[in-house]
Amino acid sequence: MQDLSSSVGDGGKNENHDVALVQAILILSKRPAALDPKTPKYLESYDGNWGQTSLGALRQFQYDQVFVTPDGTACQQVAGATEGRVDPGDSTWKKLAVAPPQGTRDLRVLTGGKTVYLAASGDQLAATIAHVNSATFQPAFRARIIALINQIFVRYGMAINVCRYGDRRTFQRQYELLTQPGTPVTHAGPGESNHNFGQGADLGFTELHWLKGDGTVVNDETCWLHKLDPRQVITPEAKLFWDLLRREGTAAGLFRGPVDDHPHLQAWSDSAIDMADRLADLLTRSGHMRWTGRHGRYSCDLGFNGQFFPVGSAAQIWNNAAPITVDILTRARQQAAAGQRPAPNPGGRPAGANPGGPPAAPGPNPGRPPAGQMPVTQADVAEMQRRLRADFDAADGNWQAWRPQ
Amino acid sequence: MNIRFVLLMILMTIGPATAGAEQVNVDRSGPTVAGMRVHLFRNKSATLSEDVLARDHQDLVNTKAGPESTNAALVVVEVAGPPGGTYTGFFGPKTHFRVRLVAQEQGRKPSRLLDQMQTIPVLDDKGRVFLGFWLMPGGCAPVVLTATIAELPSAKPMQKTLDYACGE
Repeated sequence: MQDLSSSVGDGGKNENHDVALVQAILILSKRPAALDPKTPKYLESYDGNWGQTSLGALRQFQYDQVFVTPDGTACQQVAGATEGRVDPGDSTWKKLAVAPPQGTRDLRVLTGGKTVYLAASGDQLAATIAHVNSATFQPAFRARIIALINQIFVRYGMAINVCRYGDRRTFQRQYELLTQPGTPVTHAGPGESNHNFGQGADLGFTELHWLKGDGTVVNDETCWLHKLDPRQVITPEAKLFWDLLRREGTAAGLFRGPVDDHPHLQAWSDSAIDMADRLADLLTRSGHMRWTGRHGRYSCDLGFNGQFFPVGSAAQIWNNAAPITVDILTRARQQAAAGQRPAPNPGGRPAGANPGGPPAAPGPNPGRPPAGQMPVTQADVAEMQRRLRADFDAADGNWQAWRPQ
Repeated sequence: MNIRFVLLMILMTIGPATAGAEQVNVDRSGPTVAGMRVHLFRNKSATLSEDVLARDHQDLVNTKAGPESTNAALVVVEVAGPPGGTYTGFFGPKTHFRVRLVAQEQGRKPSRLLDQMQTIPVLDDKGRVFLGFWLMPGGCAPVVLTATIAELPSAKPMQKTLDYACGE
């Protein structure tokens, strides 16, 4: 059982979270059957506010279980107990702490809140960690997520979990999220989110078992606290839980995402990283061309190993719709011819120029004129768009090699 | 003409009609909404999910992308009444009953997604019939579904919530 932070009752400080905790105990605790009580409960509901009903319930509890002889047959004064009040660690508190039935004795409440929850068990913690281990994350980030889960379990008795699809996200999934109709969910294109590299996680509260106002336990909470906050407007009580997650996460060296994306934590701060620059780095190391990226726009040498040409956004490239033209491709070829570089057809990287990467595209057909002298066609443009996308596919497959700097 | 003979003729004339009306099984208390199911439409496979309301935990987080992405849902409302109950209005306006389904999206910018009525078809021999409503949820905010019998405004509505959410 969590300790009281200050006194509750007559003359007490009556902080909401302490009051809620005492009230919850009084709801869950049963009056001794030997007393033949008319109502078995001490209290019917809790709200974190101290009042006459709560005071009456506390007094009744003390008369039944504190100011009595050990055999419960006679009244007696008890040192360190005050009628109508409970102080941290006093005799009343010691009785209250063990009064609820087994399984509901470890009650918790967040400071400043009034939602009492049951502390998670070791088995629940083990299950959430097993879930994290089965999810797709970059190994170092996974270790930090597990450390955070353990830390929150120790400090708050919660077993937070990874939400559905809250782990590594493919470039295709990112593309769909970006381009879906309706309210935008993300501004990051394929390869531009920490999620794409297993370095972002959505964490939540599926394992949170909390007490409704009447003391019944909510056992079907969702990752996003739909039971505690049904309209998802971030009620003050829900905000306490989200703030805790973000506070503990950042204290553990992780970083938050967008302000309203409450479950999200990631390994790196977006504010310090241009995700386009980092994706370009991965593309260059994974594919057949050299890339640069800045503020969501990309440039590429188109495999000619020379000048860089603008090729649009990640979404355009992923959609095989990079804004390259016949003119651009013609210039790229002429440049390659002038430099006497062996240009691929129509724009692939020279064979062998990317050691360690995927195999280079096939070279020019025998008997054809040099690439720099051939007229570029729309088919060549389409083929180049396909090759740009192929580099993105390679980066998607090589996601674990992403580097933040 | 003997007055008794006239009365007998009147009774013989209206008798069968009255008996026929009783056989159509019009329940004066009206039909009730007996259940609700929701099946997500998976737009990559053109398949419907199992009833998501029957799950212990609704898992409608981040359903907007990926192989199981969904952008629509089939809401099935079950109506109950007497076997063969007929509420189509065939036997007069007072026998016309409709199911009204309202879908209200929650969140910081609430909006009404659907407010639709359907006439209740003839109930089967077990006193049941099902109505389907097509819903296009945003997919990022909870949706409260409320089904009522439009002609029975005082009857208790059936309310269910779809716990949608999505992250960046």
